[in-house]
Amino acid sequence: MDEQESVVIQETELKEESQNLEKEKARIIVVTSGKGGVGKTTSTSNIAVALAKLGKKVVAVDADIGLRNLDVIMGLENRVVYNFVDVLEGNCRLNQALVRDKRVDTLYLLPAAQTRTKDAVNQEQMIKLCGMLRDEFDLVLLDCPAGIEGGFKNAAVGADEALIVVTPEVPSVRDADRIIGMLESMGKSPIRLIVNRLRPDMVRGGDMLDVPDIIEILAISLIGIVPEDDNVIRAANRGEPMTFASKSPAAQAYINIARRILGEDVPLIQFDTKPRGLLGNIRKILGI
Amino acid sequence: MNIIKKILELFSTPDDPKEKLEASAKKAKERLQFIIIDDRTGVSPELLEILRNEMIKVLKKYMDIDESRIEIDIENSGKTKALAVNIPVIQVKRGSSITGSEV
Repeated sequence: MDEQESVVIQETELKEESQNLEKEKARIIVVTSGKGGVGKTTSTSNIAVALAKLGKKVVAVDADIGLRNLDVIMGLENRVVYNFVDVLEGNCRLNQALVRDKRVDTLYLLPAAQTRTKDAVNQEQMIKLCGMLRDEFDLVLLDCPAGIEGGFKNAAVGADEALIVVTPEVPSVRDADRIIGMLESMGKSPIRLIVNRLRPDMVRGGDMLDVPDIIEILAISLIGIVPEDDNVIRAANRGEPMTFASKSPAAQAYINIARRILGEDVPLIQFDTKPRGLLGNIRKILGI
Repeated sequence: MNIIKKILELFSTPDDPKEKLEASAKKAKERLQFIIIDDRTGVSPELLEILRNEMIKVLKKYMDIDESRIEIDIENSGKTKALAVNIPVIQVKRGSSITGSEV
């Protein structure tokens, strides 16, 4: 009798626990940039892996219809059967289209359709899809196509928050500014910045925009700095996002970003970007 | 400042040609600041269309205009912008030319 009672109590505790878990609201985050080739897909895959390794149930959604790449970067291209357009058109159920990543529990990929165009889905359908994913996951990361047209708007419409990927270059910062303006008018919040491919040596030499300059121009908050790292290309070649194992600088930066997304107060990695030596210091003081 | 720069140059290591060139990051920041101000204050084609229609509505009260030949555009000259409008007038409506207030 006692045993039965304790079992009953345990069960109710478990139920309460799962109800509490359900109460935690899922977050949908769009990863975008405006300009292409600045590291949206790399960022999405590495952050998704890092979040899953931190114990969250995560889906990385490839929202780039017609130019799907997230499956390849994550090394899951051979396991793609259906895509999210199939889900929306009723060709399959959501869990048939989701590809479970076997390397870490709680990580999934939702691929894009490769043989369709951007106008295969509309904004209402994307909102519906995001609603379905919200029920299933703790975090939804949307890998957005480049540009400011329909593809971007579709990817962003269902998101709560945004991560802007920018490289320390004039065209990238300019395009990011336009995207930020559009996301603000869509009511996304918070909108936070990832400065990608920073080269501390070039910043030190005065030949690369430094992070404070970029933040000053764009006037948004920073969530992380990812240094230029050869391991990004190695990881892409192998289809193994760096955050699975590598201790490389970029991997560490992405892990830190994931932890900051979850609300942890992780200090920024300090890169040696200050001018060096006596001469450098004199120059810095004099501002020349 | 020039003298100080010259003095600092004396201390520069000769195998560092970067020191002699202007740091390009500074240039990038300056250019970005201008570009972004320009982008943010840009007048969209939609706004120009609205302006065009509103102006026609007002002008038509006082004069006959050739709507097919209206030109409206934003012209940039250095740091300032100008709204350039060219509206061919066919004739001023009777009574409008003197008092300007009759509708």
